[in-house]
Amino acid sequence: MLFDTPIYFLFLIFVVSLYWRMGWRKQNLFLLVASYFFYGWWDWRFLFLIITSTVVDFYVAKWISASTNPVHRKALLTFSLVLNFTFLGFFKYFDFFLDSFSNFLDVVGVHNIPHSLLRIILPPGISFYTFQEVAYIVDVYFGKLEAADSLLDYALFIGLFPHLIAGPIQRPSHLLPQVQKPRHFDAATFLDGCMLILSGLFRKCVIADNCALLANAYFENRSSADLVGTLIGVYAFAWQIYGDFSGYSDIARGSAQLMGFHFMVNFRQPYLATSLQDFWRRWHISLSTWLRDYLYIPLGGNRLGERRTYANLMATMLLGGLWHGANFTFVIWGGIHGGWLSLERFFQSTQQRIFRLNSRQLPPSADLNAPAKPWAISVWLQRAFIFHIVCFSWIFFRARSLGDAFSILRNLGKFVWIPEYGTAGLFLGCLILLMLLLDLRLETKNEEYFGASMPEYPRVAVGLTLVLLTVLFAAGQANAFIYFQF
Amino acid sequence: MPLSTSSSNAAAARPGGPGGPGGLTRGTWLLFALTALLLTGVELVSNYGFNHISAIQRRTVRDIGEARRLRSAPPGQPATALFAGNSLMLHGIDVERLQSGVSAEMRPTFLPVESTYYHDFYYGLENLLRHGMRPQYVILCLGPTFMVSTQIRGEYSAHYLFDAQGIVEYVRETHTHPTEASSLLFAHFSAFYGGRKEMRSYLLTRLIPGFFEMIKRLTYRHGIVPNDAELSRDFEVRLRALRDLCARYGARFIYVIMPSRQAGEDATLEAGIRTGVPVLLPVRNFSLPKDYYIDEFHLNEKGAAVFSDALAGCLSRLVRSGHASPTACDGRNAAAVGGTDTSRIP
Repeated sequence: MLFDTPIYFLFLIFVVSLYWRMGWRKQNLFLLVASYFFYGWWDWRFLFLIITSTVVDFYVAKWISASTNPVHRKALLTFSLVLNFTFLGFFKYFDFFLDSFSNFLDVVGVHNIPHSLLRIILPPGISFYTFQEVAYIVDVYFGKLEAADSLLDYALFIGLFPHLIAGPIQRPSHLLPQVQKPRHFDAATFLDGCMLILSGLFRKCVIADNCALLANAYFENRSSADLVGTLIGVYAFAWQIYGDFSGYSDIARGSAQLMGFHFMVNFRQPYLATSLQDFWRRWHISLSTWLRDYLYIPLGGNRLGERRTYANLMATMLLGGLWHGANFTFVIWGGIHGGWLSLERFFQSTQQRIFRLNSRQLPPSADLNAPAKPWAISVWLQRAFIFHIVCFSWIFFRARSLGDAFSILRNLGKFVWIPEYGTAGLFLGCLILLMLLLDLRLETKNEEYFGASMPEYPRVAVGLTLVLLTVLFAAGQANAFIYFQF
Repeated sequence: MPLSTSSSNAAAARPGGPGGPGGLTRGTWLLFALTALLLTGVELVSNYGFNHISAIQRRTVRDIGEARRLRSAPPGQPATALFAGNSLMLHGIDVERLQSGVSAEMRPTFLPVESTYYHDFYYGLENLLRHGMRPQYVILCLGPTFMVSTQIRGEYSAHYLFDAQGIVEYVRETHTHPTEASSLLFAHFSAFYGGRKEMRSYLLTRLIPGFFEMIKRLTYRHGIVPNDAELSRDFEVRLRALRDLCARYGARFIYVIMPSRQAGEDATLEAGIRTGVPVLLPVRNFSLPKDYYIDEFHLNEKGAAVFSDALAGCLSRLVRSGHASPTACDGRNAAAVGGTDTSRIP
């Protein structure tokens, strides 16, 4: 069930209208059944996988919690991590390794390997729920969290349908207590939930799907292999993926709020970032904080000297890239981010050393994460620069292969002008301007959706405007959410 | 980050849920009511207004209506024939020329629907036939690649061409995912959902001059043409299905290969021989020079005139011969078999 299809809204209305008529325990049971129905809608066979890993992790966490023997606890933790990452690795990376091995054999002269006999279909959402399960087990192991008493509660925490397919990746400490306590209906939260859904639909159906027309035309058909065509294609993809994923996250958060759950914010105007560090505090926050807390910090973070910090940053981003899929393009994408983050950190620490040597205070503008004057030209230049670094990395993210990515880069050297580029630029410019204005409002007013700080009736007017714009300008094509494939 | 939910607190929490006492705020009810009103308005506009505003939409709805009213001609009168096809037919057939060319044998009615493929027509024709259309001939004019494609025009076809039973059959045949299947069913009952893509294109074409040309140019995709063996197999299955469908309602089925500058005609002709379906190739692909085309594969007026004359000749011969030869018109051997000898075209 895609979030932007009528069937999802029929499902959501049905679930929400019955949900609030039940008591807390029945609510949880009902939501779990609804969530498994939602998940099984894709392919019922994958239910066995999610149920198995849920049950195993639930009991492993209980045993870890009950045990006082450190060796025993560590063995259980290892068992759970190995199991979770084996599931993930098998379904996500098996084909990749098989293909790479087959290509290698082909190179060394062993041909006609029947490598396509076993084609593994990726179960939807496996990358997301695996990370949630790992976070839970690790938190229980380190005593940051009590193991859940009820299998029903834990299964609902893992399987709650709004976040099941593409996040936001929920922290156990944030969502599990919400599942374990009765939720109270709150009229203001309910209206916010509706507004988030409308905002998400607008981002997905109007911005992302319209940008997708141009992005897909470039990346799939390579209809315009030159500088202007490439720029239009890459910019279109940059705003497509942002509109698509932030729209998805808004609909997920809005849907959860209709049932009294609060999900963490996943996007905060990422293209207004003035540094790549800042970008990663605004982009896919649920993944970036997960990587920080469960990978970067356990690796040593910035506590083991500068060189080790750079290595940790690089390792984290490379693995973050691989998380997206088994393709060298994602590794390069992660490498670009890891490399630039290391570079930023290097300049930051060098700058701090120089100022310390001169016994002077750092000027506010030296802090990469807190622009002193958000409207200053220098800040906009920084934003534009970081946006282009990110766009450069998107080329690798979107390209079908490394060769494809390099051929896109080569296109930047050819200049051709056709009149259609003017129209495409105008069309894309309108979409980008709309998103940029929205983001500037959210940034300056510190809102989660456009109009969140307005009184109720003006907010309803905003909601209706979003409905009207979505109705009139939704691209109307079945573009699955990009992050569903991860 | 504060948002308006920060106003939510324990005091604001109420029992009973949205439907309970003191449930939703007035603003939420207002949002729901106005959204419902807006969607109803859009549905009404889509149902009645859009068919009047858009010339293409007006033409399509009119043509579907005319096709639905088609009945067998009384004895002694020229037979009724439905010519169905996509934009290749729309641009490639000069209606008046063809009508005058076949006037002794046929009374043609045209149903061109742009961006359509085999399944659009199979289930579209099934719907029309099920609901009373009774032509004596059904003549499908498509390029070979459109004939073997697995695509359909999506929600538009679900609303304007298919009936609910056809959607279910299509879903079953193509193993369409339940999400897409549900969207098709929804589109069947909602004119807005079925035609929203067209409405958006209509609006954007008016707001951004050159939008249509830009999309056409940038999103042009070179179709991947399967090899002859694959084509032949698919053609056979599909030609047989269309032949049987038409036969069930007393109509003869004829397939016309439109000149589209794409391969596949040999495989189609062979499949025609094997299935006994008349497959006409009035003009061989690639035989007309480029100045007979508007773009990569749509004929221009000059091309349409040549093609229509050739098609009229083929159809007349086929009807007069009593459908003796399934390849009554094989443009591969134009002079010998009777198709247009394009070598003589200036």
